[in-house]
Amino acid sequence: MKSHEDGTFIQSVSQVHSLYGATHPLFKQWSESNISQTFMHRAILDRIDNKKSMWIDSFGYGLSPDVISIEQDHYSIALENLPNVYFRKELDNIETCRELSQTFNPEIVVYYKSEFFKYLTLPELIVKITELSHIYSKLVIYMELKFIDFNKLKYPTKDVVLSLQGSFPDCKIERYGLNDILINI
Amino acid sequence: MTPSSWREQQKTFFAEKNIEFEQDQRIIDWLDNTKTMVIGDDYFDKFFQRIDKIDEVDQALIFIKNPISSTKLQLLLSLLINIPRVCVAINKFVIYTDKLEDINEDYDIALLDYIESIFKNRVIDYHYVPNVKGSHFNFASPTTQFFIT
Repeated sequence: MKSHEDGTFIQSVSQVHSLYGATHPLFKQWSESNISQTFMHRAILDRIDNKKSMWIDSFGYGLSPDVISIEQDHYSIALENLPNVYFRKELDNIETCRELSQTFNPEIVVYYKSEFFKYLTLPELIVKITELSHIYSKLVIYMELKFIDFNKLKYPTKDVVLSLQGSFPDCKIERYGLNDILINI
Repeated sequence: MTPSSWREQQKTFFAEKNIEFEQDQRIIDWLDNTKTMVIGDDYFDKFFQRIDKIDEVDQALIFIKNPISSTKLQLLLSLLINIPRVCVAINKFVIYTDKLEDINEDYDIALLDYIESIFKNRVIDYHYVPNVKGSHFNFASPTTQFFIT
């Protein structure tokens, strides 16, 4: 696991637990027994209705224990013994995604506020979505645009969404609140 | 997570005790132990005399960590233009604009231009992390920092 570049990194179960909770809101809510389905949760669940879904780096288990959850290997000590939760190293690697597709054969793949959709430039985001869309037949991505690295003094969020929509004319991109978007491919 | 607890929590990931993150140490080193107005972060209170009367302060420290429009941020910073020493620390991911602006394409340069347009004719020391990625932090983004005299 990476961290700040100075200092020596250490980790314990509680540290990994708090780190995973800080970066994965569904886990934080679930671990505090405080998970409640919001409008955006229901919007995603509606899209996976009765389909075999695989949630990547999203703690999908928290919303629906029946879904397949794939998590990064370095979080495993905080997520052990949960059913339908599997771990992979280099989960963001395109070859790992191919393996997951072959192994679990999901009908739909979900990324919910995943770390893999943070701190990308817009071109990097477009490449990532394109690559994933070539692997998974149906893709739902819920992400926060505030974490995308673009010139936020120059471009309004609506222009960024329009740019994304232009790159994926056949998919539906919906805005939620100020910064969040739901992409259906 | 409270605004400053992320910092304490992040420190627990390091074996060394009593460390300061480089970006915090830079602020600590720069600030004088004098009457200071602080907006947005109370972590640094122990290093100077915090007061809230803007007309009486010698320096100001402002942290921007929550979503704010560029227009509102400009109004907020404009209140500080007559203070002799000002440190502005911004998580550049949280700013947003409502209209397309004809400014420099490079966000880091555009941010400097933006601050210079508010603090006119001032000396500005500028620190930022180019191509910031998640590997630089766990709970919070690094801040882009402006030291204005």
